[in-house]
This record gives sequence, C-alpha cells and structure tokens, in this order.
Amino acid sequence: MINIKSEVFTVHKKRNIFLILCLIIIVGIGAFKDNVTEALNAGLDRMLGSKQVSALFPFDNIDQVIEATPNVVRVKVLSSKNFKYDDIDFVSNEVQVLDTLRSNDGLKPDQKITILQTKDVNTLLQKNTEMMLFIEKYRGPIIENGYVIIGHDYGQYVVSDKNLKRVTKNLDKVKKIAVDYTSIAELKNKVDKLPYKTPEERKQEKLKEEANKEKINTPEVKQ
Amino acid sequence: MKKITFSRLKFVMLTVLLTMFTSTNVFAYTTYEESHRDHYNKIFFYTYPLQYGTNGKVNINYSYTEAGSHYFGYRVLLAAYALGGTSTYSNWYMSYNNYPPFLLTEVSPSSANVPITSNNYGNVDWVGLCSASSKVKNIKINEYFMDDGYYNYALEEYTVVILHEMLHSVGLDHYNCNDEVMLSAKRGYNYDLHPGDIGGIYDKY
Repeated sequence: MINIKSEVFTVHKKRNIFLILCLIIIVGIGAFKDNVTEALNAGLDRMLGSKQVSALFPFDNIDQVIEATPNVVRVKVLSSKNFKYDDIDFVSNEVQVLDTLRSNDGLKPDQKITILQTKDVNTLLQKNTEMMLFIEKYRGPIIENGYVIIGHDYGQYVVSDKNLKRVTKNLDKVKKIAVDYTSIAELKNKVDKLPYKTPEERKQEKLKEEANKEKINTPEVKQ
Repeated sequence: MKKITFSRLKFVMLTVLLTMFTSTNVFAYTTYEESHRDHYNKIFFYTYPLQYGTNGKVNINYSYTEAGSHYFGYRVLLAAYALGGTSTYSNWYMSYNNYPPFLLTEVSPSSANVPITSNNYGNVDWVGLCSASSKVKNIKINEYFMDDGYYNYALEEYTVVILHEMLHSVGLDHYNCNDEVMLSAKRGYNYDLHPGDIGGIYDKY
C-alpha cells in the first residue's frame, strides 16, 4: 500500500528545507555582502583571470610561432610555486623534460627546468599533466635560469595519447590563428619543416617585407 | 489563490537565475574586425567600479612610480590627458561634442586609486598589466621591451600601452579592432581614443 501521507510529508519537507536554505543564503549574502563579494571575486578571478593585459602576440599565423620558438619540448609538470614580485603574482613551475622536438638551448630528456608564468594572465600549468610547450629562455630579474612560454595559449598543449589539445581558447577573442596539427607526429613534421629563426633573422625579414611593400606602393617616376 | 508547487518554484528560481546570467555580457563577445564602428567590450567581472564624486566627475587619482631604469612620467601624463582631456580638439569633443566623465589628478602612490609603476619584468608575454577588478587598480608597465632587440619598443609607444591599461581600470575590456586603443596587442605612436573606446566609456559612466 502506498503511504500517501508520508509522501506528501516528504515533498513538503523538501520544499521547506529548500526555502529555508534559500532564505539563509539571501540573508547571509545581505549580512556579509562585502565578504561574499570578495570571496566570489577571488573564485571568479581564478576562473576568468582578473588581470587585464596589453598582450604581446606579434604573430599572424602558427608557422610564425613555430619559427620564433627555440625549444619545443614535451614535459611533465612536477610542481608549481606561487610567489610575488613587485606585487604581481607569478608562478614558477618545475617540469621534467620527457622529449624534445626542437632544442636550441641543449635541453635533454630527464632534465628539470623552471617555467615562469604570470598568475591571472597565463593559463597555468597543472601538476602531473603532460604538456607540449613552446619555450624560450627567460631574460629578466624575476628568476634565474628559467623559461617562458611563447605565443600564450598557442604555445602550450595538453598531451593525451600522442594527441595535442590546446589548453584554452582565451586568446581567440583577441587574435585567432589556425592550428593545423592535432598530434605530436603532425607537430614534429611542422617543426622539422620550419626551422628556428633568431630574433635578428626575423627582424631582418620583417624589414625586407616592409621595404618591399613600400616599393610596391611607391609609383615609379620616369624622367 | 493558486498553490505554488515545489517543482514550479524551482522552475521560477532557475528562470530568474538564467535571466540574470544571460542579461550580463558574458556571451556578448563579438568577433567583428570591421573598422570605424562604435564598438567596445566591457569587463565582465569589473567589481569595485570607480564612482562619481560630489564634483559630478569620476575621480581618477593616479600616481607614477619609476621602479626600473626608464622614466615614463611624461607618457603617463599624455595618457591621462587623452583619457580626461577637456580641449575642444580632443577626441572627446570631436566625436561626441562633449567632455569626458573623468577628472584625472596626480597624487602620491599611497592615496592613488590607479597607481602606475614601471619596472623591468623581463620577456614575459605582456607589456602592461592592470588589476581592474581590485579596489586599487594597479597598473604595471613592463619596460623590458624597450631594450629587447626584436621588439624594440620606442618610449613614445608606451603612451598607448598606459592609456590601454587606464581604460581597463575604468572597466573596458579588449576589442579586436585595429583602430581602437582596446585592441589587445595595441602598438604604435597613435594614442587617440577611438569613438568605440569613448562609446564604451559613455555606456559605463
């Protein structure tokens, strides 16, 4: 026999608990508005990234990112440490090199290196994750002998079953470029085809391009 | 009186929450790249917005601290003028026949709501940074790229970087249009506010 009374009671009880919880939340938010806002801020900041930046992304396509990258390495993230420098939150990640697709700085498998990231700006590396990173040596006062990722989100991929997946597509709303590789093998092909160009070489190329453009735009004067 | 059932109550509350969520600009990111349109994005999570003071203006009390080896004081001044300029030749007047809602005053770092610091942070992937959702909207300028052989930023190019960060501090987000100061990777010597930037400010203030 179905116990209607008990079922009705359960529904009423559930409704009451739900209403009481709603009431507690509303009163709580009202009473601790500032604290709640701050906690919410902190949480959402972590999710969305609270810092707005003038980004550095001087690339028009993925080939340029690859050409500008001296080291393409597959790594495992061992640990991450947060620290402040001049009131800015940074993260230093210790990673172990598993494999190199390109190494102009003599990086070798099993070597441990440090990757510097800016918290709330970069997509942070996650512990125990296998990643493919496009990196160059860090030149600055914050850490010694570290590396930084080139090309924002276009320079870091999660490796899973020899496939590569971009970590986020945050940069797409700012500048979207096509990535035409989805596996380590495809990336390796690309890296082999597009050798590393030093900043000086890229600069000279850019100057040549600009000079050619100017030549095309300037009409010839016949005397 | 009609009795509200538990499931109906849940439905109503969910609808209210969904309406609140979708009415914000979380889905409002557009990918237009057309020029000369009155377009902008506002920071979705812009807490502690700058408020109107009793003088009828939004008071931006900025300061500048040189912590590195390059001086950007004049660049800060030019950016402040662009944001709060009241000349009839300013873009404010030219575009809207009006004056900006801001009053920019240089103060000491301890009393600034927009303190600006320049320093060398090395070859990280940003030139300027703003903590727009904090109470005190710190702006950091990375001077490294002036000394970098490849990027080779000119001192004059930092005016637009500082102005870009100042616009973040008042609540504007990036917009993918080459004309606007709010283009993410904005670089160059021109630091005029575009009607899109101004439109964004008027929408907020």
